[in-house]
Amino acid sequence: MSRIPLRRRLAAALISAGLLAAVAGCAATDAGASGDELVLGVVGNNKDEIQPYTATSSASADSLRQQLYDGLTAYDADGGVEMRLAESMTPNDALDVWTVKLREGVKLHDGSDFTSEDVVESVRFMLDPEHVYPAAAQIDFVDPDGVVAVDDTTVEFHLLRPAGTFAETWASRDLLMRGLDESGEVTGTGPFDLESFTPGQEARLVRFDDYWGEQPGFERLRIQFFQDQPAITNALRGGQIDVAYSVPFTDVPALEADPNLKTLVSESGSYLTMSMRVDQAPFDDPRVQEALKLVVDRQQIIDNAFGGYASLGNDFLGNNTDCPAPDVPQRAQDLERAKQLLAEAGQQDLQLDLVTDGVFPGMMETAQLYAQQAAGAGITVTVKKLDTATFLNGWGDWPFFIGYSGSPYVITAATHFLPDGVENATHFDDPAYTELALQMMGTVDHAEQCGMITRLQEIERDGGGNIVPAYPQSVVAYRAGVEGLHADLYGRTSIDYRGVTIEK
Amino acid sequence: MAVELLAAPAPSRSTRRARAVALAVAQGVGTLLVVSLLIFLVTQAMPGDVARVVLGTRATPETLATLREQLGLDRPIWEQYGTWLWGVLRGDFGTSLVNGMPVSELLAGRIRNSLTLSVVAMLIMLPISLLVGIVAAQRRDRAFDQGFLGTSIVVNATPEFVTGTVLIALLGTTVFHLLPPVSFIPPGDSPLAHPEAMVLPVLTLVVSGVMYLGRLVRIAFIDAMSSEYVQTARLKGLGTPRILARHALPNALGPVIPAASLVAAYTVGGVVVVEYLFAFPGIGAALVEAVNNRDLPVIQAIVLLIAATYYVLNLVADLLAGGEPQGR
Repeated sequence: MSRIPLRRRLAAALISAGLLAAVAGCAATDAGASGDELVLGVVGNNKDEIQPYTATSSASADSLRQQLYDGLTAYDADGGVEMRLAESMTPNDALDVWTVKLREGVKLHDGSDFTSEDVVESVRFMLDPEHVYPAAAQIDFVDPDGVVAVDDTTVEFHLLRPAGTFAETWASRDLLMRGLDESGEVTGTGPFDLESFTPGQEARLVRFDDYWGEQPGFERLRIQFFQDQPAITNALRGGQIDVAYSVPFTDVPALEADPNLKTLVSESGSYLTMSMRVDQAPFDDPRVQEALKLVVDRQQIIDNAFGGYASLGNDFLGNNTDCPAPDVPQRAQDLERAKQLLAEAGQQDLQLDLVTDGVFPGMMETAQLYAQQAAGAGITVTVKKLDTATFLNGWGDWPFFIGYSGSPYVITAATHFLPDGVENATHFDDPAYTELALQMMGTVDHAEQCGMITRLQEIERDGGGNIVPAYPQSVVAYRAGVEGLHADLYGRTSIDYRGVTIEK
Repeated sequence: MAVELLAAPAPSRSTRRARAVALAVAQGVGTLLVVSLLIFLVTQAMPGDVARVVLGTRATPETLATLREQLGLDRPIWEQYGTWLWGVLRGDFGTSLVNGMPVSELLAGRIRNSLTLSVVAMLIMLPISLLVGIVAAQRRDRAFDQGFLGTSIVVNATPEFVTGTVLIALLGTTVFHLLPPVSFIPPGDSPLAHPEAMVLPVLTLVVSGVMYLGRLVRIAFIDAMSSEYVQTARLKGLGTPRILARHALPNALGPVIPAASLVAAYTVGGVVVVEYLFAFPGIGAALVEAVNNRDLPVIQAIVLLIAATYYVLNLVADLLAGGEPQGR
């Protein structure tokens, strides 16, 4: 409770009460944050926690963790892998023992050194089933007892099976390293140290001056959590926040017209899919799959659902590696061929429900456009919007739904397409794909990996359950005084503050 | 006169009143119990549970089972309800299922924020309604009255969500940049320390409230002014201000005060919408999120709080109106 005297509180009540106009006049001057502080606005949730290994994943939790922790490796802005807390990663010939050499002189926020013991503790914590950490599935090849600290800066990973994509795997933003301070509290090595955190409301952070990497150009960071997107746009336009985590495509023209604001457009490895259960009728018929892909007018979806901020999708999960895209023809709308395929499959009067929770920009719009387009081939698509909990409750069972993919391909291949993948909601099970994917994951050579990824994408395009109409870009909007934000394939444009400065 | 009833001195009558109030309180507690049971059952019937929400698309049968066990969701529902109720009876509202924080800690600041918002809105709304209503009644069928009635019909037909959005565009983002369009109130601070953050949410509530309550005041005043005793007073040569203050006002307040209590209850409901719109950190915003998360202890605490407030305000309305609470 604040200790403001009653009289002052009454006075304040009076001000806020009667003198609306007077307050209005002076309020605008107080709208922005003070001096050397950057304010980020992001949709947040009470579910968020500060420790890095929580069951839930969200943009807000990610915004926070990006500041507090580092990974052993990380994806760079174009989808390649760079070393972070690790200095090198070296496998044995069989690829089942990896030796990780840690960067020297890395400090935790409590001032102690970040050592191999911290890595061992972090990895074992993630893998403990009691901690219900979903991302542990990404490192299921790691034997918790086989993670050994050899010396202060060397860790040996003895694996349950050979892994070629070891460095790529650790680049996942879910696999960050933490430390424990003397009282057992979680601490990190990241560029900012936490000052206060109230879930669903705000987090306040201060720059960590002993950070090992490139420093942010400002002292304080406040992350303001919002319940919904429109309020973020309002706060940005009203000068209350400096950076919006992302903005809906429909708001971009108005924001660009504002002389106080700038926008930065990035290619993005995150996008929606329209997905079908390929193990169930009618989607188990390849002719039906192809017909459903042929009815899409991709350009219309780009223009109307994404305001033009998107490129053509070709029904495979692409745009999420630094490997070249497969050299295959672009699928285009062909209603006659679709009708013919449906007739051959005996499905002339196809009626489908397309379910979505509509939480990502463009989802509802895409669903509705698709329903109109499919009608051209005599398919009746009914769009059903569900609340998130209801949608998740049927996750894995929905025959036809709007999904979302946001991971690099080496992870996606395992989670979305292997028969036991945790996010394989299309129930895709193609022996040729599985064999090649496992081979890719057992390969260290990047060029060789790329060749295989390209072939995997081709298999998906022709026989998979995902319709990928477009690869939308991500648009970040910010106040004109912010300098140094950089485009990022994995959506970190608004939360990576290395070298970023702010002037107010 | 309604107000005098409260202060009636006869002991037998006050005993009867006390008994009636006690009965009403008992009914209130019973009502809250039924409400809590209903919320519990409704939440159980909603598809999806908190484990699904937390684990998202990466849930596996194993992780779902582990998490449900850790959260106690695998126990029989009567046992879950019993545990919760036993806790509430001892003043413990449990912990949030999504982040493990005690519900009381999670909501304390938000309750204060929402309460402040409602009270400030009411404090502004009531005198303005009274003033506007009286002036409109005095100038019945003239320009001010016609304008007020027309506006009030439009505003009352407009959801608060729309009113608020228009105010944001007008004063915060598009036309003028006078006020912050979003209400940041740092955790631990009183909203009164951030008056600029209060203006738009309060204004939204006040605009809707005045347009409704002001009309009630107007009607009550028109009735009072055309009554025989006012005519008599007029014939006795009393001036208009004196008639308004001494004769019309007390009688017109009779129907208006209970209505104001109802408007207060309605404001508590309107706060949910307004908080969401302005990202105001109150219980309304927390309720929306708790429902989306299926976070039962938080839902229960907030709904019970709102239901209790409604009940109390209704009780007050009954007391003021008829002297004796009616069972609800």
